[in-house]
Amino acid sequence: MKNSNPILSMRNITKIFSGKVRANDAVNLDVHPGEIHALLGENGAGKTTLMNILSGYYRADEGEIFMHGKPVLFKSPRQAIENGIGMVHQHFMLVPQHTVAENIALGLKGLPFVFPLRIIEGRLREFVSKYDLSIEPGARIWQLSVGERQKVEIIKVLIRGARVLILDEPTSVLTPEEIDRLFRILKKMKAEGKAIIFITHKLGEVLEISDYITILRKGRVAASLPSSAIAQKEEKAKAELALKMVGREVILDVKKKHVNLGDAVLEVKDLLILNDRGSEAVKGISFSVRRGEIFGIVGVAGNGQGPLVEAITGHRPISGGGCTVTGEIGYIPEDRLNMGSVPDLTIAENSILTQYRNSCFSGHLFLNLPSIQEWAKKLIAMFNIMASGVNTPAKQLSGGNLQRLILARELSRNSSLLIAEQPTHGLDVGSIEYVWKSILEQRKNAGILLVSGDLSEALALCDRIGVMYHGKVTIFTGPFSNKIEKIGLKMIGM
Amino acid sequence: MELQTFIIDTLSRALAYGTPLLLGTLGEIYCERSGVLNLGVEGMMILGAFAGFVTTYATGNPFLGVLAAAIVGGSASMIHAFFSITIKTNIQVVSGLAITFFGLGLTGVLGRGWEGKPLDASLPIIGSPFLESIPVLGPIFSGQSVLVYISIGLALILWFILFKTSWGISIRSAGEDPEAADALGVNTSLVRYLCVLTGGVLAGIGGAYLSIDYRPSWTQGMTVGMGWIVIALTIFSFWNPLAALIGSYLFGSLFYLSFKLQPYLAPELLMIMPYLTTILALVLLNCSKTFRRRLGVPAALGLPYNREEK
Ligand SMILES: Nc1ncnc2c1ncn2[C@@H]1O[C@H](COP(=O)(O)OP(=O)(O)OP(=O)(O)O)[C@@H](O)[C@H]1O
Ligand SMILES: [Mg+2]
Repeated sequence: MKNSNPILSMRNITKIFSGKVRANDAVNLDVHPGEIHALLGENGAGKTTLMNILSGYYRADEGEIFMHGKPVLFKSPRQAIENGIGMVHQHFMLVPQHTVAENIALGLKGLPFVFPLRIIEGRLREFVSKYDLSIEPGARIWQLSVGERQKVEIIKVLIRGARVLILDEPTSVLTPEEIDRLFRILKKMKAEGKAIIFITHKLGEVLEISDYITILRKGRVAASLPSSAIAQKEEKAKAELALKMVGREVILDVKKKHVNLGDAVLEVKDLLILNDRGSEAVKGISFSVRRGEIFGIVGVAGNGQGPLVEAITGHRPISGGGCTVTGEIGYIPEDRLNMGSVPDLTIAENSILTQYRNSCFSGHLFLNLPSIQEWAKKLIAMFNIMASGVNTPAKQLSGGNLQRLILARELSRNSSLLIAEQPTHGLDVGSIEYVWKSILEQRKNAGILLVSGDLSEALALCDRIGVMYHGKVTIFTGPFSNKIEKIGLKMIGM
Repeated sequence: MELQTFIIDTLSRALAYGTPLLLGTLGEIYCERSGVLNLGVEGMMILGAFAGFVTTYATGNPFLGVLAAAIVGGSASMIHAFFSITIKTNIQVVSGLAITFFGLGLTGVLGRGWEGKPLDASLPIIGSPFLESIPVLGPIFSGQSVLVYISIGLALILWFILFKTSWGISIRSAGEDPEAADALGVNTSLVRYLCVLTGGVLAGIGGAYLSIDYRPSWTQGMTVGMGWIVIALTIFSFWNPLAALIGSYLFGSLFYLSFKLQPYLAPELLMIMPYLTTILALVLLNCSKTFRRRLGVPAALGLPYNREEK
């Protein structure tokens, strides 16, 4: 396969934001038909930027793109689409109030002017038989799960005749079954000769599915090699990739120091919570979290974890039972862009969102801007946030760096209860190491409720784990080494 | 039979009075559906009313008058479009208001010599013995201007385009999520320009209907706040052209009744309309996302769109 000519070549691509941030620096990338090409790199390494250039969303400052050896210039996403390049973005680009069919029909050429949606419904049936991609055309996007939304995005790209498919962190939001399904679809597309560029932070997935790997570091290509050139043993292979990504050894093996347990900071008793449709999402569960311990909530997405956290943080009414929090809550929400930050405000402003009344930051009337800026600078340095300055709007941060900013803000608050929802989603291995350490550190003064879809994360950090299934919880106490299988079975209700 | 004539009277006047409201509202629905808030409707209507009157007076041809009104209203809307779409300022509210004040002011100055002049030519009236013979509906619908019928047809067509065609999907997407539309190669700026233009043209024609047909003469400020009612109606019709049809005639009948019932109802109620709708529009722009979504406000209403910024 490597002998074939590349379907796509990027040569010396350079992109500089606001005159100083070199997001891409002379990057070269070759992708062949029938290849799954993994694109790796730390948060802020420039992966999304490079793909945005390829899909016509951004213009490169320097460099050229070749399709089938011929130079092409994409001035807009439309031109990239017409050349067979389709991108599924990290943050989905779907119109939430519109139906699946409307989202697919948007901007699609070759549809009749009147009643375009009838054609779409027929075309959707093709995808069911070809790739096993089934979806209800009349459903509205906001009613769909994240996995289903991703299907819509993929169909949207395929229906436009994409021969190069770009997926930006497609698995970070999926459940394990959904990931399996996605991989089966990708393999079918690969067999058809399509080229797939796949961005991920999960090294296991890279080893499982990719044929070729390109690693970016600080905007430059740090390595480019076929997957077969990587060590055979999984642990070794992961370490090798991590080393290439962050330039140092990463040890994802936490040593938990003993911490004395204090009083309960969260007490949940016979808690009943209804979901939006009025049916019971949480069916009378009880547990408590004490200062000094990490209590994990794990489970397949959609088993009541969301409503539970919403009820504890006061975003959803309680329909029965009780929930008592002692002291303040620090909250790292799953939805960073909407719940966790205000994208249009600067980094400095975002860094004090949850404590702007603190006397360090505000007098009686006015905010103390110099001290806020100092504070933000300190957080940026401590948490290694890659940003051009404290006055850049938060929306310009890369996905992982935004997550670091929220973590930095909430971890530095000294709250008595810290709720962390998927705290390492979308983070590179180096950052995961750091976040895990910080959470363990935090346990000295706080009780921690960790909600995670990643079982290995919960196993590594937690003192106790509550498995949620259909609104009920089963609690396991560590050490977990001989209970892992039981926990896994409980997650699927067995 | 007293009551029946009263009802027929009210409904027939409601059709007549509701027509400029309907034209304006249809235009504003398109404008807002594409994501642009236009508070300049009142200005575009009065400019249209004046241009329509003067042209009809000078040429004796009411159709040329309507055409002139459409051109003038459309041109005014292009100024608004330029500020809200090309310059991408966050001042859609300001630029809209500016056009309203500009329109009212300019027609006030230019129109001095035209007040009180009679207009001989008028738009054709639809009516036939057959139409009149239909009970109840006949007397309501016959004797109405051709623009009444055109605007009803337009409401149906615009509804169809918005919800049943590929253009409609592009328009609504531009107003809900311009980023998603842009990523699929839809030229959101063009879509928005065309929708704002539609709004301006229809507002202009609505104004011309007033000065050529409804009250064939020119008086300063003769739109008496209709542009503001249009903005309120756009919201009350949940951005749907068919609902706008009902809403406009409802407001039309209210207006007629408020004349009839003047002894009992304070006319000042109508005068607070501009302020009320501006506040309403600002509240809508600034209320929470979930509330906006529940109400069906186009999610990107009032927000300029920039590609290079995430
Ligand atoms: N629109 C923008 N304006 C200014 N700077 C930007 C913009 N988009 C990205 N950047 C900067 O460019 C760099 C690369 O960002 P990019 O989003 O490509 O990273 P990434 O590799 O996708 O990271 P992650 O894994 O966290 O998603 C970052 O430092 C980011 O802050
Ligand atoms: Mg990214």
